[in-house]
Amino acid sequence: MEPSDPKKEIAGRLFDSGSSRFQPGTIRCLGDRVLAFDADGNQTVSAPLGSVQIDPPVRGMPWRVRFPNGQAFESNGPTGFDMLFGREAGRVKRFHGLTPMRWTALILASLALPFVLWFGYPIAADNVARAVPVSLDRSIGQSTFRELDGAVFDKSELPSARKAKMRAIFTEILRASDLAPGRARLVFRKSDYFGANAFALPDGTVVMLDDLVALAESDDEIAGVLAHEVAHIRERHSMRQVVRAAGISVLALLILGDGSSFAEEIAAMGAGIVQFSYNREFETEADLASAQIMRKLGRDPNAMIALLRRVYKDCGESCEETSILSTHPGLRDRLETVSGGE
Amino acid sequence: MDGSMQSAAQEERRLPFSFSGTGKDYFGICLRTFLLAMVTLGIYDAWGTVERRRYLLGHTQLDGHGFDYHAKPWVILLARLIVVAAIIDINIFARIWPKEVALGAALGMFVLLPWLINSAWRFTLRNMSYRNLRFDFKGNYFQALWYFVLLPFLAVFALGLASPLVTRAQAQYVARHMKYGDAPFSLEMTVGGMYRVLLVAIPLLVLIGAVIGGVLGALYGSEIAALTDRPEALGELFGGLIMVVYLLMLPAFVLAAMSYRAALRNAVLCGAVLDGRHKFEGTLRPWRYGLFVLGSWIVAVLSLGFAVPWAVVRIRRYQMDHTVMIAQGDLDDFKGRERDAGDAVGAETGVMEGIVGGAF
Repeated sequence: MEPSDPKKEIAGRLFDSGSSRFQPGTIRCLGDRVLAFDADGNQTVSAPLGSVQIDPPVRGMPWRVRFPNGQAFESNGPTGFDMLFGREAGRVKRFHGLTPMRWTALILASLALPFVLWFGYPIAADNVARAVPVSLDRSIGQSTFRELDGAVFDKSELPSARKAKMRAIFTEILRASDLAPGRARLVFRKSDYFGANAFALPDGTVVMLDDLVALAESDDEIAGVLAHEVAHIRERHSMRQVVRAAGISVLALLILGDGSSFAEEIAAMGAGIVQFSYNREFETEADLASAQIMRKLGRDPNAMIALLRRVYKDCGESCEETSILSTHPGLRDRLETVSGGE
Repeated sequence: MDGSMQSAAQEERRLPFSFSGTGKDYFGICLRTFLLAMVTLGIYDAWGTVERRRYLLGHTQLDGHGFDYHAKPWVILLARLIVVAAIIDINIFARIWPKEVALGAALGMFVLLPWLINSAWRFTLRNMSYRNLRFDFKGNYFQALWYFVLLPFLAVFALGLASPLVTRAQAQYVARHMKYGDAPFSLEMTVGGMYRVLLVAIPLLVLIGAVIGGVLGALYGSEIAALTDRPEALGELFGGLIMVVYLLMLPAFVLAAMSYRAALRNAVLCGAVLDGRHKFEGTLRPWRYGLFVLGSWIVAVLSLGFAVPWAVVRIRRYQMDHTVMIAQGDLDDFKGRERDAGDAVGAETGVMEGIVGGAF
């Protein structure tokens, strides 16, 4: 009946629907229909071209098409595929194959990506962090403080006169820092676990530990540290760090989603190193802000570093220098930051 | 035709599996999909995943036919986005209510794990076909809960001695709920056989332990002995210790784990029966396979990851060269119909958590 055009007829294997049976067969296009014939020349399928599912060919394997009734046809060699499904085949191939030109573009884009991410990602993440309501910072900070207070903090043993003096300095700093008065509070604790240290929690709690106060030799040293912690709160460093870290994990997960465990290890290490760098960036930001506040109050912005040197006196050169694995910049760099390069 | 089919039905045929993919082709696919995934911030990886699986399965051949993989990339993408969104939510809530979230996550995992395992297997198998006929998996929530959550938990009290029994029970659960078309698989493994599998790894572990102990002793013997007087010296030793651990322990662990896996794979294949008559055979030699995998991965690491596709192809070819189906007659008579593959969320969570690591 149909005029058989041998050039447009392709031999291959015709697979049954709903069974593992197959037989030699042929397919051909007639108008915009695809027809399949079994070995005896009987037509088994007639389907519109648009309803035939053309799987992108797997390199080195026969190409395969599937008909809406569940039958499938496969054949070797690319020529038959192109001949039958000229335009459709082009679409499938365009999507799954790359010309040398596109390879070049792709490699260049991939090489540019790290730079785009390096500079663009922190800005994007900070914008996300800005959209997070401050009440979330508060909940996180309060919960962290409750955890720490029950586990590693003891009551402060400082004399109340000393505490009162520091509270006065804190109020002074808050006024100079443009932070809303209710947004931060100062608490005193003692901790054998953390030793000489001070923290800012995202809800605005600044925790001053006894051992650090004991090492301080002047009010300016204490003031510098308090100003640094207040800056962390004002700049919402905790939340920004959380958002940046979450985004990086998501990116690593998506890009290496199906990767081997080896790739995941490498990605985790890389993500860690990037997060250290963000942490150092925030520390530098807080140091700068601290120096600014201290100058406004007529205090010595460098005093804080002298206190830190006393805290890390056993650590020596490794605390002076910045490394890619440190959470804080080296003390030498920090001194340069607070002194404003003078 | 009828006469030949009659004789074919009685004839026992050894059908070796083979893998015809090449490192070069697979490298091209991996590089392109990886780069595209990077510039699309991971979105393309759903398409890349399907392409890689289709390549690996397509070149896995049995009796002149390759396998096929039919998952829709956008389904995988959607599933990944849901998983990622869930991870972000959990992380945010964990910062506000750490204890409650930790408890909730543990409980949730307990409740969800059987479902995850079942849907991961279902998604993987229902999207796999051979000769235009799909595989299938019909799990049972409570059985999965028993075999994958409660039983391993109870086995902890046996201090690892019962772990071959747990592995056996899990493999049997999966095999017995697996189908090719409508034809069921079954799996018989003896308890003794399972312990023999474990025995493959033990002498190796002892040997490795001895070698590592020897090297540590030779290099750091005096320093370690001095630790009793000066415990603070541990810090100075740490760098060297970590290096020894990475250079020796990791390869040793890979060697032992892969040998164990090869022996287990043999045991599973030799116990598996399809449709009550077709049998399988695994002929991997555990230690040699362990060395083969180890060598491949060392090259992959030294090449900074560029040889990973080459290693994957090489290992897969080695596995398939040691896999045989012992068919009774031809493979024409399997029946079945296409089924909905179910949602991919479980499957993608499973992939991310490494639950379906060894799936075909």
